[in-house]
Amino acid sequence: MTARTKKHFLIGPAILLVGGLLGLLAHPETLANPAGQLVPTENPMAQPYKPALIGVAEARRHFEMGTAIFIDTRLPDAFKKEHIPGALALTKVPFQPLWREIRALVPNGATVICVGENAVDLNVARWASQLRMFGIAETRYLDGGLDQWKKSGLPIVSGWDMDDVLREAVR
Amino acid sequence: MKSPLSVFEMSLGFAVRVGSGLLLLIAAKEKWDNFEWWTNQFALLAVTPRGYHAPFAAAAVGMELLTGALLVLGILTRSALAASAILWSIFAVVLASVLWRGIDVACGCFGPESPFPITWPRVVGEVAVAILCVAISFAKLDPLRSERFWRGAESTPHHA
Repeated sequence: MTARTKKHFLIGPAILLVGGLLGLLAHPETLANPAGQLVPTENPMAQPYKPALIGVAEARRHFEMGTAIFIDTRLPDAFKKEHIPGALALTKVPFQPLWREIRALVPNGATVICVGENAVDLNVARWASQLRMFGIAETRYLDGGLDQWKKSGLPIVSGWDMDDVLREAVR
Repeated sequence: MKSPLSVFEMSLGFAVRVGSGLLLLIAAKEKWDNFEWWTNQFALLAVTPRGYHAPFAAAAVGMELLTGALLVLGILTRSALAASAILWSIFAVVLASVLWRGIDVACGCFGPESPFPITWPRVVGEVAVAILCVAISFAKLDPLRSERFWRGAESTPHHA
């Protein structure tokens, strides 16, 4: 390695060091709060959160009282086919959750009830856990999913009714 | 007369320098614009000490921004290429570690709307870009020469 090459490979890390310092200068709040704003101090991967189940009747009661909000964690096509009236879709494009919009739409202190397809839809627990990491502390998931909701004779609607809601969220 | 080989060399040097720089700039801009989201995403990768991810997330954006800007502008080019190679290598190690530990999380490298999942081919791609950056940084061809080359002048001085 020539002296000139050595010089480049010494200046390279120096550039990264200066860049890193500039990044910290631009966001000094990260030094005051190194754990960030929304993420719990505990490493979420080390201690997976297990959200509690909520029964259909209790979920409906909370929703009607305005203390809970339904988030449909199924694929967008399934949401279009049928969903709980007033539920928010977690994704518009498959596997790309609308974290920012959902965060804006969920009122502070509200319980989020994640809705899956049925009792064996395990994705719902994963999404509920991830929502908690995004600062939505009170997340639960609907026991039996949409299947149980329908079996209980509760109403469902079809179609994609999220566009106006999403526009409102990003405003 | 410009030989086809020198045209290829110049184009490769230029493409790697500007391409790598632009990628870093775009990635930095997306993270800058969605900084709260990026801090969370960075925490999910679980590569920093517990509860100390936010400063690392901020530093990463600064590194990408400065290195990308230097590469695109052609300032300290070889050193910026070396910095870029280090950055791409770090990205590859982080992504490989996430895959290895089986953490199910989106990459987030290019912002919340980024459609790229973390996959092994992605890791290989990042290693390839790092190797290219090192190669161009070491190579005799001057990555800056490309601009002068396209203007029709050689970078080596001509003597009468």
